[in-house]
Amino acid sequence: MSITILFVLAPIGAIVAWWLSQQRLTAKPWLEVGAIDDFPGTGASSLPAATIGLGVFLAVVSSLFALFISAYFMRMQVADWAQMPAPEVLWFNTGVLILSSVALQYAQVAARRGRMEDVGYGLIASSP
Amino acid sequence: MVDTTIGAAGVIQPAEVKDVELYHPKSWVTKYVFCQDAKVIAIQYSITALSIGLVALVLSWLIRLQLAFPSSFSAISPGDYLQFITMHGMIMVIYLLTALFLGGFGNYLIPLMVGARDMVFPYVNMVSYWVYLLAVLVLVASFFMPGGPTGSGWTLYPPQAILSGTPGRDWGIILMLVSLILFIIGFTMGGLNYVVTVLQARTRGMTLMRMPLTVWGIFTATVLALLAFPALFVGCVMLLFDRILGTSFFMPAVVEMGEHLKYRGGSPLLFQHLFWFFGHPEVYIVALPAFGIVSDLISTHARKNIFGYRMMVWAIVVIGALSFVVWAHHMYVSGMNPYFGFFFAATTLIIAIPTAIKVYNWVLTLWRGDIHLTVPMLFALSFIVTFVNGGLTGLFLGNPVVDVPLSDTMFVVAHFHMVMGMAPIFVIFGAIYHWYPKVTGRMLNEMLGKFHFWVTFLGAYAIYFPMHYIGLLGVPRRYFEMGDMAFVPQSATTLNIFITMAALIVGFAQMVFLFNMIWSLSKGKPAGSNPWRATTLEWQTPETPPGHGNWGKELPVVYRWAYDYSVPGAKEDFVPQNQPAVRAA
Repeated sequence: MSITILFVLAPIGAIVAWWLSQQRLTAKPWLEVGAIDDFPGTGASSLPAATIGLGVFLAVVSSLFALFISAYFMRMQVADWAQMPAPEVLWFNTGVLILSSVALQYAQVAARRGRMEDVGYGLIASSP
Repeated sequence: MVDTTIGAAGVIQPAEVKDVELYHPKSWVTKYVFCQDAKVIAIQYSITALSIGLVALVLSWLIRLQLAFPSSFSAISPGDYLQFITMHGMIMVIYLLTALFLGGFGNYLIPLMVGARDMVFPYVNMVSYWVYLLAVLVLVASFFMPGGPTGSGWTLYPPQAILSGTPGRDWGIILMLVSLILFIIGFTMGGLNYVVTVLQARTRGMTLMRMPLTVWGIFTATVLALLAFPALFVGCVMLLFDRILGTSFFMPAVVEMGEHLKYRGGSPLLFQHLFWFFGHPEVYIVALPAFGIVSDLISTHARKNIFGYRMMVWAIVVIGALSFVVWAHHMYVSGMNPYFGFFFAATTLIIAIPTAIKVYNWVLTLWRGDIHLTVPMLFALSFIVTFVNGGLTGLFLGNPVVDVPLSDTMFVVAHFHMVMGMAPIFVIFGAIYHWYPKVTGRMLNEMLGKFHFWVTFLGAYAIYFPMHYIGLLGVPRRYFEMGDMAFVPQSATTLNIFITMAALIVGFAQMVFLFNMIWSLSKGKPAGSNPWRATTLEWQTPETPPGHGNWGKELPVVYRWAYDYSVPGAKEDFVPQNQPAVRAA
């Protein structure tokens, strides 16, 4: 548990600490009264809100998966652990997932370049 | 997209947000039911949380009646009693406090206080509420299932949570876990909104260090919740697998009624780690918004700038970070390595430092302030006193040597009810009295408010001070009845009756509060836009209650921090955040 926390929370903590260090937390707001026409930047990022939202969501998902995996590993260390039988479709499924990711990526690149026909192909290929 | 200018210090927000970016409700249903306006969502969250909280309040009466008059109520069986304490705890901590502070106050105050028109993802925000409502309904459904709700205690510890001796083993525990999973999904959607809105949607001039402490508290608590709830999610999913699929993540080999169950090798301690890795930050998920709100209440009603604003912000962040490395202090009696206990005792006691800084700063804010003993101020002051009282017993329980004999006694119950039961509830009441005029346009009745305050405040002490003593005697928590025990003197029984009477009276005082909220909706004194003469942006809206989009045509521009009260030389004793400095002639 503590090892996982090191690996998961340390990067997240580092990102938070880095972000905080950029935020003028040592400012003395009580001395800084702005005049008309004086708009200090808010320190907001120039990235769209959706991108930031996705980043925050990915942090949540990573901590979720890291906790799942670490709990699973801790359980594996107990003596009676029995290996789960690998279902036959496992590698087939994995292959399909990888291929559809590639197709989705292709569709995205095509969309960015404005090739709508290729977007369609990519999306159809990724849908199964 | 709207044009934004990137200056040296980052993005300068545009003055006008184009109309198309805002969501406009078209019918009654999209305006009041499936609404994407954060203010409506906030009210929906608050009403739902307070309603389910009332259920938990009634459960607490039943618990207290049983404790004061054991064997007088034939309707309450030992199983019922366990179900009452479980549901009371879970509802109060998760479905009331967390939902009300973050879903209720977060939704209402964040956009208004940072000068945004709405949350950044309004649709996700709306879905967040409906998933929360679904979680509440699933929880309520467990009362009506065969076997009733789970009676495993709010910590849901396996193996007992899913063994057949525990009430609600059939359906109750399953619905409880499903409800928690739904709650976490709903919360994550809301939480993304709160965080990204604070990061990206602040109006021009609203730097982070000009934000009111309320926003800092809610923002940091949301970050904690986003990182801590996944641990509970994992625990719930695995426990659900153990219960339904027969896996053995947490279930060791168990003999039940002389019969070997199929479980073997699971680790109950693993669940405890996961639960408390969420459970301890949860305390601060509730406490940090309370810290923030109380700072603003004190500053406004003492007409004085908050003392040590920077220190307050740093303390919030430090407390948030430390709250992730103290979880095992809930597990001192689980047989851990003594060095582990030493480590967690040290981190636990270190948290007292930033917390004490906050308390000193509140007191120093009051010092030589122009204190107005309004109802919000009374509640804010009672929070400080109660939080200190509850916090001091926390220092006792944070030390393993003291904790071991006190573990699982009523002393623990008294401690956490003081520090994370009554104290945050006082802030919620104070905040409702403070912001109700903005939400409805009318003041709450002051006489009824003061009555509500004094009964609740004195009642809380009548309930929990004697409970510490009962705990010191060694009376354990979660026991249906004590019977004749040599170590329990007659005085404990008398005290139990006294506590129950106090609890019933405090409970009924809340009915006065509910009456006040409903009555004042139509009969309250009109509030005007800024009845408390406060500086923060939510009081400077063109309409009260704030209209759709909050700010009329132009977003406000912020020129100063949130605490310019009693500034020497100023015309009035407060200068709103959106008032520019007067240029020297």
